[in-house]
Amino acid sequence: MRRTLHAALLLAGLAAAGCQPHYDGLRIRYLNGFGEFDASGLDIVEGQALAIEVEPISDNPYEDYEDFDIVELDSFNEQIVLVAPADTVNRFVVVGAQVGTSAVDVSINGDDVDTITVNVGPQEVGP
Amino acid sequence: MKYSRWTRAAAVLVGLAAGCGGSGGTAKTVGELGNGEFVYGCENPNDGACEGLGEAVFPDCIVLGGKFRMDYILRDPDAVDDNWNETFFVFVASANQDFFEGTDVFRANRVGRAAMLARVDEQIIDMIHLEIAAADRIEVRGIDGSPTSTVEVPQGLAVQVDVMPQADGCDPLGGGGPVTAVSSDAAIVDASGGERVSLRGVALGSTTVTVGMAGYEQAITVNVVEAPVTTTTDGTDETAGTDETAGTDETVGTDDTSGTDGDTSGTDTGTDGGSTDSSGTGG
Repeated sequence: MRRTLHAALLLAGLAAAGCQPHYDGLRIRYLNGFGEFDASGLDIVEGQALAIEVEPISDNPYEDYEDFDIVELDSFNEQIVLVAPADTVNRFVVVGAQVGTSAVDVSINGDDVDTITVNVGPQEVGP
Repeated sequence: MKYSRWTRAAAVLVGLAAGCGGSGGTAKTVGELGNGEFVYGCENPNDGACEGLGEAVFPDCIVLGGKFRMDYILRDPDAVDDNWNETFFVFVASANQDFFEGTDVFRANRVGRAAMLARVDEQIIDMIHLEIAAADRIEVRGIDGSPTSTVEVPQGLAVQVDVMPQADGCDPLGGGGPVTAVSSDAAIVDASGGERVSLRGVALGSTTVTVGMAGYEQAITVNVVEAPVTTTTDGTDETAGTDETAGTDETVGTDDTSGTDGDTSGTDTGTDGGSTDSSGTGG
């Protein structure tokens, strides 16, 4: 009897977990501007802006994120990198405000799920 | 997303406001996110974007130290999150004040490439990147608008010429800015700078005037020539004949083009009855 109860609880727990997407990163689409994402984060140049569209990826094979899942990006330090919502949901403009390194907090539906390192580099001016 | 008539009205008003102010023309270009148009406005008479009599041209680059206006006309109110709010206000901000300093009127402070942002509160609804270039030469524009290294000034009159900054790969080069002018012989030519270079012929002769802008200097030769004299023989008819003199006046009168206004007309009136000519022509 007790084993049966344990098995039922375990199945219920697994089912509940399976009903939610599980964050596995962001798919990023470049819209316009200057900057580049790689494994180490985002590289952008001071004074320049990059418009992106983000889409959260779930590694739960049974549950993807939906349109109503709201992604928010917030800068840790707006003196170095400014992130602002753009013209539609899940679109953002990232601005290199000043040379330095900071990070952008990624949250989905209000829950912090990730942190992206942002390097703001100096402008290279030719001779 | 729905938006009210008030929202549309606000967008239109922002658009209208974008066309106001500044000393020259305006030129528009679509923002990189395509939600509207950035409106460039000239602040200086030697801004390459507003050169000539035609429409202003959105500049490829801004000269280091140059000033300009930037506004934004929203074309797609759906780009604004809170467009149900009847009082949203679109404004243009510099992405980095080290490069473009100011609000409404901006000054290019550093060579490079920097973004201007169209914002509504926290939102960035559009953006545009502009190049800031150091001038690599300057051009002195004669009274006919073409590049020159020699200017003729009638004695007793003043002529104004523009000094245009130039940079390779930037056509037009926006911005413009104050110019300096130093006469090597003030007894022949009195020179002064500002928005334009003003040259006043003091005495007959020739001298050089060094004009400068954006760190560049160029010497021009200024020849002070005799002022055209209108010879009225006797009758009023003859005066009408001085219409031809008025033709001569146009040579001098290119002063008008360069806008020496008060000085020229004042001298004309005394010398050749310019006011008579005008009324004669007008009648």
